Amino acid sequence: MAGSYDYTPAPRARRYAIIATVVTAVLCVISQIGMTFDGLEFGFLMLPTLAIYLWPTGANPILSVLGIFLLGFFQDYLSYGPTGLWPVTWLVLFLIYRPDLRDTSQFLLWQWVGAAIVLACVWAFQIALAKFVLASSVNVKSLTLSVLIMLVVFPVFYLIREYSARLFGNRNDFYYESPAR
Amino acid sequence: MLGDSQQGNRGRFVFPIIGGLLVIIAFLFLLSSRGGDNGVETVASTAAHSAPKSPSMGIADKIIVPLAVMTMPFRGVEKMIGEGRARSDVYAENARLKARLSQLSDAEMRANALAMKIKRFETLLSADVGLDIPAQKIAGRVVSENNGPFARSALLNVGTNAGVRNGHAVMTEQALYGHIVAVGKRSSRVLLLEDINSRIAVMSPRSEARAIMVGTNTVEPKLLFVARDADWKDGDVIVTSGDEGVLPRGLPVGVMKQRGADKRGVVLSSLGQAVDWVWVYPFEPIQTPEQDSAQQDIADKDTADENEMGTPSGVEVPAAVPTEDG
Repeated sequence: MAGSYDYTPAPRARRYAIIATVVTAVLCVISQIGMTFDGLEFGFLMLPTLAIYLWPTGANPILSVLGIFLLGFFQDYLSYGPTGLWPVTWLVLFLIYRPDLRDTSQFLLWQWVGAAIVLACVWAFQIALAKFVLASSVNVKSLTLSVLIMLVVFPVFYLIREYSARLFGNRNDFYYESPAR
Repeated sequence: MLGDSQQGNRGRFVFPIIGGLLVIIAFLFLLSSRGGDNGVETVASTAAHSAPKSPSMGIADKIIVPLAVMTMPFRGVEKMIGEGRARSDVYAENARLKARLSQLSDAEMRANALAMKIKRFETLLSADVGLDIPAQKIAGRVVSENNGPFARSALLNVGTNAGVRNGHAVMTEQALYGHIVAVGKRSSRVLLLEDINSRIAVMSPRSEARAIMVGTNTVEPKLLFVARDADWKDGDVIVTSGDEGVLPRGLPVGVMKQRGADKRGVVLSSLGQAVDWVWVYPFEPIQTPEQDSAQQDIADKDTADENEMGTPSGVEVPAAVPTEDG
């Protein structure tokens, strides 16, 4: 499959990567907000993961991967968690779920199912990291709850992203630009 | 277009290589924070490497204001739901509080009598065994509470500008909330008692049995390092023992819950309600003799340097006072 690298002009690709990095940095700050009801903690810790999932496919891959690396450490710093946890998680996600192989369907339900699969994989990956690499205990309930909350807010998040993409330029700007389009 | 295509081909090979390298680097960082004592934050260790201002809090200082604004609606919702719940059982709560008040007025009378007695003994023995808990407190607002799966911490909107230092105890209205692990100019980070890296020396006021309360990243920390003959009973009130010489003794923590033959959990008193405002207790930790003498050496050196540089102009040097020896 021909990658997005062939069709996105370099300056625009760089711009997408920078925009995505800045937006994700803001989401990292927002993800620190949490609420507690009846001993249950509701948080948006997985919010930046959704941004990685919906990373612009036309973004410069080198800049993107560097941006995600730095964003991971930023998230570790903000959440006071083990250093390296988020960069490893997001980079592995980004390298496996490569932008040039992504589905660019605009169908919300399809994207929702995709997000559920990705979040479930991130959930399992982080538990495995905590158990086998960090040798430390993880609050599975809290992790599961943050995944479920993200699934609930995903449609809103997706629509905001779509709307912003249209507002700030051509809708296709944030997607893989195929010559067939 | 050809240029873009060439760049694309190059990117296709470089991307996985750079990506892979970055994963390895991040993984090495992760390995370095693996288990052991690396991330463990006992109050003593926090206070030992306490700097007046931690440089790592620079970013937190900058994001504290937007974060405070963003959390406001969430704190409001949290408070509203909490208050709604409280209203639903207001009569039962009122009756319970009245009963408690009558008990406490008797206890207050006894406490006052005891305080007078202790003061008299102190005067007789010329000893000062006053309370460790400082009278002066610093009020701070919890801007964000991170109850994530891997860490539990909170960000306060007070820092060195208000006199907050590493190792200071942080209290809610009810009980101990955590201790300060990083301080910026206008912000500070609190490591909550539930965090897996939290270690606090505690005791039972009833039996004076000691233990270390260790966080588990869940709502219930556990008691470890309990002596075989220690007298712990289900329902025992737990307070800080101050044995690490950093936290004051007697700060309420929670209640002990027996979870098995050798398993003891702690039901924290600070949990169960929305935490908004907290108190930072500026307790000065007891220094080790080594630290104490090191500080004395620095002070001596400073004095010697000042003497070598000479007396600043305008300062009168007092004439040497002749001693009896001449």
